[in-house]
Amino acid sequence: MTLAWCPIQFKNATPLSPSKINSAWQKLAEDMVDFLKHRFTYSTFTVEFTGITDTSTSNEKTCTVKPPFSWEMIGAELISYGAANVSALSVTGTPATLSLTTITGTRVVASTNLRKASAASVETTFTLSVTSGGAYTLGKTYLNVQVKQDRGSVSFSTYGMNNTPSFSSGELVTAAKMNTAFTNYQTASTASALASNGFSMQIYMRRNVAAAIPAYLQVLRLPAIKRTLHSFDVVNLAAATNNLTATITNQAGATVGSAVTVNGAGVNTIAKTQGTTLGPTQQSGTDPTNSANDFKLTLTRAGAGTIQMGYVVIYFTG
Amino acid sequence: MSLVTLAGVIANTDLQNNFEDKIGVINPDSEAGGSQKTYYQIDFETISTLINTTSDGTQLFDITVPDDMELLMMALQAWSPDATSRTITVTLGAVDSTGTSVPSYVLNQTVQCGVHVTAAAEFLAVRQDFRSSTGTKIFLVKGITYRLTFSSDSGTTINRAYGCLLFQQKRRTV
Repeated sequence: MTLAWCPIQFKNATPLSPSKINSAWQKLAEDMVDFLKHRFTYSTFTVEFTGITDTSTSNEKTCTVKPPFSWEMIGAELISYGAANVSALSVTGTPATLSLTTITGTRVVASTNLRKASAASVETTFTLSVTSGGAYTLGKTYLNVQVKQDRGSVSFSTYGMNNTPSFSSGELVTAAKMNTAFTNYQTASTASALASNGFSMQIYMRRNVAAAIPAYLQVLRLPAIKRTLHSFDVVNLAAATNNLTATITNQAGATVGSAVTVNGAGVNTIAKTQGTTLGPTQQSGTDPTNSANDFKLTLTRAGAGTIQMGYVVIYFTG
Repeated sequence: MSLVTLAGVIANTDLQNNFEDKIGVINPDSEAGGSQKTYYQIDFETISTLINTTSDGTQLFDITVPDDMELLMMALQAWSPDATSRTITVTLGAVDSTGTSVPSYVLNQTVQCGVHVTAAAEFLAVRQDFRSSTGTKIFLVKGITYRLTFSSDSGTTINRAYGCLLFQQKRRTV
């Protein structure tokens, strides 16, 4: 990617020829096209399966995401340090089923570079299967998913610039034509800069949440870098009356968007609220090394029973 | 700088201004962020039983990165259940397919963040800032597996330790 520059220095009392103007337009158009072509971004997110036991339900071995953007899984890796009595692990929902066998306390990895595209607002569920010969508690086990996202084609022609502006030989260089062209470039560059232009997500998951969530398990910090908190999902697997609330606050402690409470729907039923919109921007001018600028995701709960699994998926753009 | 509406006899300065104005939009986005770069965060957490002899994988987090990226910042928080003094550290490294360390992928640098806990409270480490134009810059390479290793200098457990890495990446044409 090159840096844009103007090839012409316009000097007073120097003839302004169409060819000189045209070369400047051409260069600006090339720079703009180069700018608009950079449409793909890459990121990762992680699904935790650490601590799953032989008494965990099938629902506890799942994790569902529903990104608000179209996206493509370009790869995934399942990493595990095993558990006694566990002979095999597999995860579906990825581009290809990831399987691990001969699992001991030593790190084992299964990975895939296959691709799987998904439209926006479509659920993808990752499901862990465990083959065991007795009681077990999984050691460190997690799935990393690699993501590619395309912001889409922001074409030059969208902004009324089907052709690079130019003056014919002998054509009078008019202010009106030039003003129109500059305005179109202005619109294109501004719109491109503001377009949804990157995507990532994070999952904050807690298992076997006791009636009183300790303060040290409640919070996920989101340091201030230039990105937009687009929306979030809240998932709760618990008996009725055991409710999970997710609240995102800014650096001033004010709630961003709305807090979301998901009521327990039964120990065998996943309850979820997806796509709660947010929309602030963590500004690049704010220093991420200063923890006072952090946004925070905070989990709280109600009820006296254990929440088997509760998690929040936060979607970011930018 | 903003667009000047041209009229009548076009002044060279106005013409120059307008071209430079558009370039002034494109280049900051290209160089310093905005729509030509994207940012994201990787979180990592260890479990509460972390002590100085832990070696069962619970203190490790591996991730293969999908693209070249520049490390902006490293943060670490730890919660202690008591006043026992101990230091929790997280170190960034790289590993090969067997999990063997390959330090050259972090330029043989020690990329580390530590926090000293001394009470039953949350402690925040001084965040490691890699954004400086003159300081150490760490670039993660596409397709390489990087490892975060938690360690403790104490035989006393903690409540929780977690941290994050912040990255910026170039937006791509493919």
